[in-house]
Amino acid sequence: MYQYSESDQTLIEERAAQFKNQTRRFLDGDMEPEEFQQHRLRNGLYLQKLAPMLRVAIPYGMLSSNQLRKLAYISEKYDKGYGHLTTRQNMQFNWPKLEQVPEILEQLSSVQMHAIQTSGSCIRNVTADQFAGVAGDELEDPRPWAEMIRQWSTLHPEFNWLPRKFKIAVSGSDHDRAAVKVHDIGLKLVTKENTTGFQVWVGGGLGRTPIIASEIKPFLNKEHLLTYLTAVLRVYNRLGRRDNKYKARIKILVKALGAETFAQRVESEWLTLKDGPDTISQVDIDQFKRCFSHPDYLDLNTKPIERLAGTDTQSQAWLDHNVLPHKKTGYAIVNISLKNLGTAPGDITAEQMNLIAELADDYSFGEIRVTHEQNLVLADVRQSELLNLWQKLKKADLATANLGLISNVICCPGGDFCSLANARSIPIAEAIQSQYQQIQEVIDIGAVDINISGCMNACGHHHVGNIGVLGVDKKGQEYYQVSVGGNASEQTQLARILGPAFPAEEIPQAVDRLVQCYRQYRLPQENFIQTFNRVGIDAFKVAAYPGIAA
Amino acid sequence: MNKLIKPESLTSGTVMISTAEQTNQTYLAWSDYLELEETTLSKQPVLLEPDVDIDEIYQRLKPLSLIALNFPSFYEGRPYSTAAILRQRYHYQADIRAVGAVRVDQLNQMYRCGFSSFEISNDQLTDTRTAALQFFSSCQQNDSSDAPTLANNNQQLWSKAWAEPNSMIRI
Repeated sequence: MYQYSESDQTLIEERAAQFKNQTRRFLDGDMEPEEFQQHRLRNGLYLQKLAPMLRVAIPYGMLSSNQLRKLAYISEKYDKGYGHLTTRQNMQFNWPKLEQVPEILEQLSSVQMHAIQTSGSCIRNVTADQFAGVAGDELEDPRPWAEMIRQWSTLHPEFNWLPRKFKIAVSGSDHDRAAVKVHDIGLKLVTKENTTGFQVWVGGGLGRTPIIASEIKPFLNKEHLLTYLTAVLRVYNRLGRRDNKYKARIKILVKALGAETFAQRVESEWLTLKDGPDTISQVDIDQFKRCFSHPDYLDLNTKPIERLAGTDTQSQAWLDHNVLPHKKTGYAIVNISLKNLGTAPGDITAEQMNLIAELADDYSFGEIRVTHEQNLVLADVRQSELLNLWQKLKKADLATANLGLISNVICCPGGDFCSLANARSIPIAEAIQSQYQQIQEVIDIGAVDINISGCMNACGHHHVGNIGVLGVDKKGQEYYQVSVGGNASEQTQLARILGPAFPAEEIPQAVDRLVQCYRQYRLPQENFIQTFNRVGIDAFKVAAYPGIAA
Repeated sequence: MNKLIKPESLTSGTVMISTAEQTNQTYLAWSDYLELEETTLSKQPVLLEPDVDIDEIYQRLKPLSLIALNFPSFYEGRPYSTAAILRQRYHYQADIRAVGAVRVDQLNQMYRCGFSSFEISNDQLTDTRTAALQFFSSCQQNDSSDAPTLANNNQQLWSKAWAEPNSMIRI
């Protein structure tokens, strides 16, 4: 895992000190609220409904056990003993006090963490595949590149006041687990003539105007990554709309100019920067790659485990769904679901954080990954330890076997916490999850992604859920619009709205009618999205609104 | 009343506000500038708005000894790119000035994009505010602040961020 250099460390300490000064001045009335707002957002701090919310960056999802322990400590000392994992590899604290935030930042900087650029109109926390370095289908580890982007984008002087927020994701596998096509810039490592480079996608995004990104460069040689990113950002910074914040994302600019014209503008900007000082040397590339070298794996020749000895259907379901094959023989990838009934999706208590940190030390080289599905991963577990690990997770209620299954609901904090929300999302998630607690039934239903957002900002990524639920406000009442057919993988698809919104109490049944519709129409081996794509939306419309003739 | 800050007061680490001069400089709007006689051009400082296409007009600006870029609001981002392009692409070596909603907390970013003087209102220059200038001892990008005419000691900072693995701090 990457360890900070002294200059990395100095920088985050200095930013924490600067923010302390800015907070002091604001509290003393020496800085206008409007100005402080921009500085605090660029440091991940929102002033929410009930209390401030601090969003901490977990760049490309990597955490050490000590970092997770620090997050646990922070949640206990400054919050209510839990944190919330977001869909962009961040952890949010919902109850800190404004006056204590500078102190929290100092705590974070002591373990090489920060909240820099987790909000505001700037380049946000860079995200990547949570299985980077261990996935069998990986062409190249995206993390060295994501770390370069992290450093390059941190306090970038030219791109700190963009028209709107800007999100970059990197994927190194054929199977896209980083949702690159719904990012402002999505980078996919690809091969051409035996060298790897980047396929560059621009202008994707969810929110109020969901758009799938356009490919603007089929192959970019790796040494040009930062000059090319500079060119894209510069074109956007100069030409992106600033008159209307709902039209200010790069996706609107790409759409207005047309992807081809946009690509040409980037290309001519890039030609003035190409081979300049931001060109990455092979020496630097090698050095970054060394920072993400493999842990000290043992040479094992165990066959993939099909059963955990002497256990029951629960452990079998966990093995079948939460444990994935590892590229190193004898090891496995273990997913820890944070989608337990009765807990808000993605919430994790201090106690659980401390336990998982300990398990990471004992079973997975002291590293943890956080996923955009709001779960955790122990990426390097020896197969022979799976049973021990399962037993310990089970004892802590952390062995819910639902990865990729219907109860693994992705959900934003919603109206319970967020001041932007139109409606609550956590109770909806719980009501849906509570219908799917029989493991055999859940397994029979198979892979279904349900995504819930409390407003059109789409933090729950409802546009790319197989079933998407969006909270809307109808004359002061919480209503929910349901859409079907979204897909966050490499076959990115945007979900289509079914029809009129439902009141909260009707949502669980409406969702279940869609699930039953799929079960009725599915062919053997066909999952929800495949059936939807084959059958079309009309069958689902009929199912969703049974009283109304199609 | 506004004061003018020059780059040496930024790079020294200690902001010499007392030496900042009062200014009541006036600037020509680009549209007015276009109507001037060729011979008077270089004497007239011009103030460019954020939506200016610098690539289109640079040839006309080239002889000027001062180009001022306006910040209508403190969250305006375009002049940062304009200044960077003037330095990096056109190697413009004379003064680039930030004018308008210039805030102490952003001088560092402006400076690093190639701005070399800052017109700033007096009320920004209190001790508690100018303390904000002293926070950063290094950065992680190449920038435009090492343009040849500027008084600073910044070398290629990019390589500084790529530390040797053995210098890394274990936590």
